[in-house]
Amino acid sequence: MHKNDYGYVSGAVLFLPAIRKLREHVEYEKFLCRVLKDDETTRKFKQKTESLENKLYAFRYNNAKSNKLTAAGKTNGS
Amino acid sequence: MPIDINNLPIGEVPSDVAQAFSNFLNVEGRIKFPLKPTTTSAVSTSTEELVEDPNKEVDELINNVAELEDLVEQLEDMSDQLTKDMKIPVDNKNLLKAVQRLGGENAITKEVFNTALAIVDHAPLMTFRQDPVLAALVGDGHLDGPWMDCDQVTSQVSDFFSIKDNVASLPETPVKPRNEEILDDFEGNMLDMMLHILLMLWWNMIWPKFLVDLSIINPSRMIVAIPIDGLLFFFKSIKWKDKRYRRFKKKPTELLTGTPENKFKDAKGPINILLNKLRIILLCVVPIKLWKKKDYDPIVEIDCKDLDDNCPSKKAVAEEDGPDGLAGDEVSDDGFDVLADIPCATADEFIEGVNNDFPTKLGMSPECLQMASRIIKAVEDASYSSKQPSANDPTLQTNLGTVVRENFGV
Repeated sequence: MHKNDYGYVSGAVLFLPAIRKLREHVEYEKFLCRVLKDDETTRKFKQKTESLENKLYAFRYNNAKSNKLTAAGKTNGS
Repeated sequence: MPIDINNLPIGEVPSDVAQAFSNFLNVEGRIKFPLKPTTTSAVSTSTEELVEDPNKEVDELINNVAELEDLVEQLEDMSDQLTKDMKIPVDNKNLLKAVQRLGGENAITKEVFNTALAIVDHAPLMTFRQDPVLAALVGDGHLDGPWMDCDQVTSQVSDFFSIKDNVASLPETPVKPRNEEILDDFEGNMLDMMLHILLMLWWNMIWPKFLVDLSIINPSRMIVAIPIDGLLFFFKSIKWKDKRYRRFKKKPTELLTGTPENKFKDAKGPINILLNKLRIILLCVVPIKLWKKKDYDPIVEIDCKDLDDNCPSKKAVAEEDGPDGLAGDEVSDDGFDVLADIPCATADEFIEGVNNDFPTKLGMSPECLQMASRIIKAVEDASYSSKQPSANDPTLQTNLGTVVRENFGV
């Protein structure tokens, strides 16, 4: 793989903001999914968000004071 | 010195990175939200489609998001891999200072870049006007002190906000509908007011009979004045601009005095009609019925016709009860059928009546009237007991106390 003298691939830095933007989008989608349904996948979503290096997303989307489910949440809306 | 973007060491984008970026763009377009069929489309949709499992679309969405996150992780790993050794030397003095503020030593590294991006995320909250990264890079920013880590920024920013519970943490019990709450409050207020009236009635009925009857003060005025004033105060003290009272379509002045057309002629507002009914009961009906007519001889004669044309006169009440007046044990519920003249209505019907030209529906709830009737009956029984009731009469106190306890829980 091509590397320049400064130890990084040319142009890769330009993708960093875009990737962060995409991460933000994904975290938002995960948040919506968690609101819609509570199952193993959505619980993993939350764990993944909390384990991210950037805690900003956990702050934005995992910042509930309580994890108590609503009546609809307990039955997954059915 | 501003940074000249042309001097940045950016070359041609390698094909594999471009392909990854292309994938990213494609991925973003693949997100589909589960849209329910609209009413229009439902007409032309077959029944089988409508009875599909609603969770299916949600599951599809979750799977899509999981897949998308997997791709994002790959992109992040890729960018980490491509930039992990990034170490761009800085030959500008101001830029070097900015890099040092961002945690680097003498080169722009991956960590420095990430910190800068994290700050960009918080830029509006931190500076309000100034782009801190730009200020730091240019070196003439007005930001002093050490830079904060992302976590520090997050924790400090969170102090500025009162975080509301999200949807997942709503209480388990359903929120009580606002209108139901208003109705309950209204009903409660009316019950409270009725209780106050009855308690005053009780005290003023028993005591003035023996203490004030011979004075020049008409005892019935004492009976009437306090509850009526209380009612007037109750309705006047309502903050009509409050949201909860906006459901009254009539203006408060109309509630008291009627429509503007007859405002100065007579008081025909629903509240005044209600008060008039109470006045009639308390002034014209209750005293005559509670005290034997031979004992009831107020110094100030009250003509009930002045209050309302439909008001039963003292003569009519006396005739109805027979020439001999009321015997203590013969008083029945029929003697108080004037209470039934007040149309019983729920609070809902009351408000509906207020909004729809009243006063066909007016009054308190049936339960309230029933309680009132029982209390008055107890007072009545006590007043007509064979021996004269007194404040120290244990029978009277027991009887009244029992009824009050049963009905009001006091």
